[in-house]
Amino acid sequence: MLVKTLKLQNFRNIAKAVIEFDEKINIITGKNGQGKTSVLESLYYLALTKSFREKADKVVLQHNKEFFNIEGTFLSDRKEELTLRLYFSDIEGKHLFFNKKKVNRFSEMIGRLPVILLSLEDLSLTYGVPQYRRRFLDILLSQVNPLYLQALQYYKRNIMQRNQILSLISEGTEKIDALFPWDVQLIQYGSEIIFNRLQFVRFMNDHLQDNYRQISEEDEKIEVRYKTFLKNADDQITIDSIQEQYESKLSATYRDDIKRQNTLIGPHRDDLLFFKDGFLLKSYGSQGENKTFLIALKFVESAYLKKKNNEIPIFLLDDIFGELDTERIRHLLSYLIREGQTFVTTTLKEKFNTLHLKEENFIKIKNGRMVH
Amino acid sequence: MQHTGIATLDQLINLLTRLPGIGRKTAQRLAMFVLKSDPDYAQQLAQAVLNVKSEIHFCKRCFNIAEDDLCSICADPKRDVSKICVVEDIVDIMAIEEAHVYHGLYHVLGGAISPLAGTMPEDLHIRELIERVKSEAVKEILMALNPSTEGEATMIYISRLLKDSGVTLTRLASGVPFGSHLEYLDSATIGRAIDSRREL
Repeated sequence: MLVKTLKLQNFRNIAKAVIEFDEKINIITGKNGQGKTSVLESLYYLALTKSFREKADKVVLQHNKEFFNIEGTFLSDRKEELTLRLYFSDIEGKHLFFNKKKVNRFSEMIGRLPVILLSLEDLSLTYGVPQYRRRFLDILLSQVNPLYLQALQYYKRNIMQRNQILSLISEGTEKIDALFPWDVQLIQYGSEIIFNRLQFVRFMNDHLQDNYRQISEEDEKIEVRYKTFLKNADDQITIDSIQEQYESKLSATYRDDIKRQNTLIGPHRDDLLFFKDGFLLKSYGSQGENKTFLIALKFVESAYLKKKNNEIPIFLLDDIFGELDTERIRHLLSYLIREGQTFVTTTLKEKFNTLHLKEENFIKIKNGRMVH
Repeated sequence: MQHTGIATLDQLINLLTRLPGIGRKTAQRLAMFVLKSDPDYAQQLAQAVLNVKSEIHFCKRCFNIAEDDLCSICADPKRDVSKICVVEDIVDIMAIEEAHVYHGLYHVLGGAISPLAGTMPEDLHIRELIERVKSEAVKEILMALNPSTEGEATMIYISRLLKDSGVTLTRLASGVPFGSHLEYLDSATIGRAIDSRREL
């Protein structure tokens, strides 16, 4: 997918802007607070109908303005011209238009404009709590598999209902039998989720190593493992065998569940573990290694989306070049140029000076305006 | 909360606000409409509200709405008594009847199991359903519950109770709606429809 032009109106501190992009590398420079990230944020908005920085749409609306508008023109890998427009006003709400036609269900559009975002917050993927890594899996798998998303929604609702039953049982107002209808569904949807995650872990292991080496040029062994309550959980496991183990494990732990009034096993408790040369990356890896790993992981994400959607995603790299030296940046950019179109924000333009880029590759933003 | 200062009007507004889907503004508008309309209308409206409560009650057998002991469906000798269609709510009967394809009887549960909403099996008409299966000439139970995790849980609960009863348990098919175009369907619906495809 290629972004050709972007039109912004009243978006954060950008009152009005029309930007044309290079087909490969776009480096958006400027001091902090000028509106660099807003450009990435608006592209992300078109792709996923929300911000990666804020929960409320209102926040990105420029002060004293009634609406904001984001409009992009795109060229798909099959050479179709596409337009996406997102309009928000406090009174009228949020509206999305695909090729000028109003989109009624936003979920139908997700995945249409595949994006990969890498920002400093992604460091929590390696350093942070397991929740971040489950979120990573869930967002990615939901984008390519609508049945995964559905199973996930049912599963989460089921957990809430089951936990309520657990509380009632521990208070003595319900019998253990009441768990049955929820356990049946928990096993069904939970197994579907785990099965899909395991298939993806296999995909990660097939690709991560190469990606990591491309950026770091060092020969380290990178591995991902899926941490779960199941035994022999790998991509060879069948869904029947997952269900079987799930059922017996659930009946072995329900007493603890009741005591804690919480469901203690299942995909909502599982985790991803990242290893470098057999050691846990988050405990033993340096900042730079973690960042390199994250970038490699983002490339896996890209390859996965490409394989499933037949569309190369666009890359949004938000201010991540802080600890990377020019050599690593060079590797990274040469890799990205082969992949597709990339958008980079940075305050450190000088890091890119020796990389033989053209004038068209740089976009400078000052006070919400493009300056040449 | 704003008050009109006139107690009788405030009382009407407050009562209207308790109706589903009616907010304070709408309630005010409705109340003002009644206030300005001619006295006959107010009389008829009030009487109609009272009649609904005094003359309509629930069918003793299936918990559909009824004017007598039995509802019009249970009292109809042409209905096929070997089939019972289990639904969550009375409005579901209306929807199924519109289709004119089902000629059996019904059983209204009065909701679905939802611990979070405080609805447990004993709050629904499940016991009565089991009694009917024992005492009536039922051969098939068709579960027409909503495709939610609560509807699913209710279905699982009931089918376990009826496992050894000898009746055939069926459920509504889920998949591609008739008359729709595949290209406009959401992919989850198509995905599930492919998963539950059947032989021609």
